[in-house]
Amino acid sequence: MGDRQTSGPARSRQLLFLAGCAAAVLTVAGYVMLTTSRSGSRAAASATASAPIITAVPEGAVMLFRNAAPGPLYGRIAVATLANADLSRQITPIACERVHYAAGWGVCMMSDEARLPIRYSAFIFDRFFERHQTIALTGPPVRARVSPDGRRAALTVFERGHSYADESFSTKTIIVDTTGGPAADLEQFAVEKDGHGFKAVDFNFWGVTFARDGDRFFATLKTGGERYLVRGSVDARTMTVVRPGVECPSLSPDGALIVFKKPLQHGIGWHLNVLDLATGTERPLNQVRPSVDDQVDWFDDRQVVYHDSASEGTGIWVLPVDGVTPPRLILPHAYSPAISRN
Amino acid sequence: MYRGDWLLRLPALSRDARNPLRWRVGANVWALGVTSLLTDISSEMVVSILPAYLVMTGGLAPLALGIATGLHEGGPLFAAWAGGLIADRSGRRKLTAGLGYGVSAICRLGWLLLSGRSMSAVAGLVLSDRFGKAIRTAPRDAVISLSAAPDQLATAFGVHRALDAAGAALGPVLAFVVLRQLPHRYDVVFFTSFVVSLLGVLALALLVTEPVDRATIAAGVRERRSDAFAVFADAPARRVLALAAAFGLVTIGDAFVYLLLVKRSQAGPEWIPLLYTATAVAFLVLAIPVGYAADRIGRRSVFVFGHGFLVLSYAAAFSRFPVWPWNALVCVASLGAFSAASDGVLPSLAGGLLPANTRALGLAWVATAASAARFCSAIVFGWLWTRAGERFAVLTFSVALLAVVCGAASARTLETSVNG
Repeated sequence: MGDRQTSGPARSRQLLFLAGCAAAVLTVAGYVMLTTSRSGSRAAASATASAPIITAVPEGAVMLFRNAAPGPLYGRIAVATLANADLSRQITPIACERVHYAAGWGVCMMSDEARLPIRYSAFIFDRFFERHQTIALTGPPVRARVSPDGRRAALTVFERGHSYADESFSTKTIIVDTTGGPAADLEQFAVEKDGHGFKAVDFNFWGVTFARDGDRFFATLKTGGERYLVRGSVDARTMTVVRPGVECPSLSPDGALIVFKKPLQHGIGWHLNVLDLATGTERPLNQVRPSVDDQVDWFDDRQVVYHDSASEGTGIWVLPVDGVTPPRLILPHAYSPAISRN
Repeated sequence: MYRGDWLLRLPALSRDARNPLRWRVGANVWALGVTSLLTDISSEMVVSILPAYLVMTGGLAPLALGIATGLHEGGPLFAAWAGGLIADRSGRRKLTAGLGYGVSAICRLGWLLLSGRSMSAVAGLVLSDRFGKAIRTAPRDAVISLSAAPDQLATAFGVHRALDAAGAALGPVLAFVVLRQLPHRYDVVFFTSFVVSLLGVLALALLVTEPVDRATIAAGVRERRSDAFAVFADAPARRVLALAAAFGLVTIGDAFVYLLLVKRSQAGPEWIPLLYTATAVAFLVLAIPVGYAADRIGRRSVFVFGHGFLVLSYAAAFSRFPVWPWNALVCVASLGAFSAASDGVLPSLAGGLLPANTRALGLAWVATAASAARFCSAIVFGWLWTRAGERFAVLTFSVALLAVVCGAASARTLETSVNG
């Protein structure tokens, strides 16, 4: 395009455009300089600057989570001892996108973005962060859960391109024994609905939550546009549809309640609800925000814990299941909370 | 290859040099190319980091985003058509295109302010961006086709599409560089994207001139034929519409070809994003030479026989010969050649046949016909794949495609009216 003859006005317009390009570069540089000196991110970085590195999960009730404070330790799994009121973070040697931990066994799901194509994998670890088995994943991590007895782990990933339209996603959920052995794919389990066999090609499973025995579990089944709560047994390889309108269930430690995501009637998003398994009644929690998207964990018998956006980045919130009390932010710059009581 | 154009056409060019209009024509195409380059850098920067950003900051699942955006495919179709109509009615194609670019630029600012808090807002932004893209496409293509000499249309579109594809390839790289230098500063990516999109609007405003509709002025009339169905009034335009639809119906989407490739070669699905990028690079390299060839050989022939590359890509994906990753290389090169022979050549073919005062709307119709036909073909192909297996589905579509190629090749040529 260099050989073109240019008239006077056209030439001045080109110069104006070049001036605009220069101004754009300066604007971006100015924005970066102005915003990096902001105190907020420095304070967040200092949250991990003095954090101790630990080589074993402490005894007692702890919360594991992904450290999202900016700095070199971003993405590392951190531990907070629940007995400590300030929940100061202790950094572990492992980095994960999603983590869950119970009874001395943990599952860590991660993406390897260092080289192309991006690969996804997971591993099982013990209280000393020793790796026990590595599992190749077929898509980006979504949900991770370890059974309360530490015997099994459930992993959910997104899978693309399994459907007709480019836009739609599907999920795949597998259950592994923490001590090794082949993985079980939930799509291979027999499903029953209203006393009859139930099967369709568009079955999608996600959000497993285990009962104490590590065998019985609840999960989400999506088919034909409806999301169902299913109850199942890993040993028997069976599932039964319980009720519709339930996503990402989380069973309370006493096994009486399930907190789940309910898709909003109007708009896009989810509202957290609690389901009483004995009576079958459900009622909404006071999550305040228009939408919360996480599979919650139980902080104690009356409160759940989940990640959601905070004033800067993402943080961990605790919400009582009474339906009245609003959530409170317990940890800023944190993601994927997992509570272990033993 | 493009330099070859200059050498071969030196005598003609020296004649053209006396016509200052001719020079401005070239500048306009380049300027629109720069506009698209900047806009694509801006949009691909955001698109490439969006899933990671949504998961990291808001805890929003891309699953719901996919559902939200997938539901609203009909809206942008209407916007494309409206963009064409407004451009033709008002005669202000540049302004209409600018409106579309402006909407997308404002969306970038939305990302920065929103921080991905609410799913509805995220879906709204993605959707508004698509509306902007839909509005601007037909008026912009009309400006390109009115800014190039009739015998240079496909080359002009080739230049524009190459710059457009370069932007799409550069955007993710720029986002990657920003996040590498400033880890987790998604706000810097959004801000940069916003500034780059403003530059795109600036390039349009300053460097692009509204093409003078010489034919209409010469005729001394300003005919108002721009109602919705005006494009059907002309037989050649009708035929190009039918051509676009017929080929769209027998075309397997890139996504399916990649799926087939990784499945048959037993490579992981993690390769698919890389295959998209490789195809974009092949398209970027081939767009100008193929456009140039189309202007010499005939746009219709290149469009029709360009589908041969599509069959070649199916064969490479299906045959497992040569072995992975060489079959992938053949596959993406063929897909890139196919895109070069269809994406840039189809609007140049249509542009050459449509009267200037209904051109934007006509181009919108052709693009809509092609994408609607491809959507139908995706559903049929998906259905065949699940019901009868991949072998049957691919064979059926290959045979149908070859049949349409033969049919089109034997049909009356449209090219004669192009240079008239």
